[in-house]
Amino acid sequence: MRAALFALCLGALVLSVGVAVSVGAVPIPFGTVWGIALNQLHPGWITPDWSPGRAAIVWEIRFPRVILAGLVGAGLATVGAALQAVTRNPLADPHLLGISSGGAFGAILALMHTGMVLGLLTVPVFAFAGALGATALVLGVARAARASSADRLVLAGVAVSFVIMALANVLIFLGDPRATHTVVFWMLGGLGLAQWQHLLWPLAVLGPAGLWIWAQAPGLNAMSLGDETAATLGLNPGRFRLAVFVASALITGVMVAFSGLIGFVGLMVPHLVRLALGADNARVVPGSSFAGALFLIWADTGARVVIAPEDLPVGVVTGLAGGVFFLWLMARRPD
Amino acid sequence: MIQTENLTLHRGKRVILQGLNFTLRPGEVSVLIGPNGSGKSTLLAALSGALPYRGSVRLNGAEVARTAPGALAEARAVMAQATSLSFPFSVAEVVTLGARRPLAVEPFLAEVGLAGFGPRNAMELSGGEAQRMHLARALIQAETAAQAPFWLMLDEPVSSLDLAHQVAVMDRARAFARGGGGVLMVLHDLNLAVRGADRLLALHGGRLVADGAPSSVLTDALIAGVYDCALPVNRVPAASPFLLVQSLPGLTAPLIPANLPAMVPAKPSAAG
Repeated sequence: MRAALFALCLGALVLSVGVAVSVGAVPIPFGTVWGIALNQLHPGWITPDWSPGRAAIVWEIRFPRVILAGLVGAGLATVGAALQAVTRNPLADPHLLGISSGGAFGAILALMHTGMVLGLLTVPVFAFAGALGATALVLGVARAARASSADRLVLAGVAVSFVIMALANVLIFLGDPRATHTVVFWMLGGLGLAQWQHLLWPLAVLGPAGLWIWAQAPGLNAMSLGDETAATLGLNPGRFRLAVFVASALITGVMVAFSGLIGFVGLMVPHLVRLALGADNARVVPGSSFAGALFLIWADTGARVVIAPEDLPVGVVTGLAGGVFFLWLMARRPD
Repeated sequence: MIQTENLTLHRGKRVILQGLNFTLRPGEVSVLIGPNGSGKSTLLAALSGALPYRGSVRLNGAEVARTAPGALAEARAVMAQATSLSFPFSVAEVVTLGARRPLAVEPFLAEVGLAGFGPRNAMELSGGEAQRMHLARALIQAETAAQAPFWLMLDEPVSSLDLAHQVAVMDRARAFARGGGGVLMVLHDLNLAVRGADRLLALHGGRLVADGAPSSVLTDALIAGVYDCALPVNRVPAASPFLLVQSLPGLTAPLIPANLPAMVPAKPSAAG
């Protein structure tokens, strides 16, 4: 049963990747998409009947972008599911604990003040460093206040988040007004800068950290009975929560670094998955990973075609489409 | 065996437990009684390893404060006064959380009168049903744990239950003790405590003020001194071990007949 579900998710994912790559300002047939991909992975298997330009659009531009969308969606939704469980807070999301504000601070610093000192990787590297810095700050505050409880950790995250956003706004205020446009676009989220060689970083973080979170399903389940009861079941709730928080910060940090602040995915996808699969985190966490990947791939496809050839910021699409869909769902199921 | 030596616990500057010394033996149902705020739940939490304490608490020989949560979970199960769920788990999933190794939950649900409740949303249970679900979770933990004797620590396990289920839970606890396990529970209902306990420990202001067989602990003096309540203890009938604290002036008949047969509900009730 579980294997069948897994295969179904994987099939849906592969199908979505194919469709997403074929759709765009220049439509490319579905078969051609996979032909180009196969030809890249194993040159000589298929005789190309497509132009080099098309091959470049598919392989150099669209594939990395669609795969980055999948990775970011999977990462944010996985983190959302894990944080909701360990904080026992259905409103927890990856942007809650100061991680994203730290990322924004780093990105703004790079976009407005340092110049592209590290080339194309400048913004991601600064954003990732900012995210990790913010995480360290939240953990430091929580430790100084001896706050391992869910509420205190969330409060520490929110407080640190406000302070960092204030500092980030100081950076914007002091910077070149013309550059604020770039900052606004970065903050709205976008996957347009995806390149094959950059995909390694999100993958290298999401792979191990994501699988580790998948494996924590029993602990995540126990945590939803509260710290006291989780402890009687053999868990150290404070330590477990911190470990999940650190894994989440790593994932969120790298996702924010490569895609900006994409909302909704981490907050709502786990809820939708719970509606479909129940609350057991052995299903919710992997389910959220798949659903998050699918959701962001389709949202980004939408972002590319709605006002083609222009890209709508994907954060706008996730917020609009996701929010309206969720409201509709709530109206249908009043519980 | 649970042994405490000079067990003391502070919250801020307030002393909650003061120098407690006692030994609990497996094979017995020990019941903690005492007025609100006397330290019963705190004592249970300290014994289970949930709160830091001064002095010593040994659970089957191991100092609780120095035992890892995983090892403690092999030696005792705890049922808190109230456990709230934050996500819509099914009843079976909640009970499964107690299992130390895979085991079917259905027999444990049946045991607490929740047969067939497995797929139900645990957040939609009545208070009494939820309480019995958590008891099933503790029972499956006992069944699957590695250590013997295993201890059930139950904080007011019958507070939301109807009469039949109260009696059934007390009988289950007794059967667990007779099977070699240890049971420690907090109860407010003194009648039920007397009926179900092998031993009563009375707390007052964080001190152990009485400890022994129910008939020797529950006296007019204790009711007056500990509960600050001038109600006489009636023995009904005179030779029976069953006691009654007169709950209303003029009421002398027992609320629960002493010879009530053990009742395990055959069917799940609709509303707990």
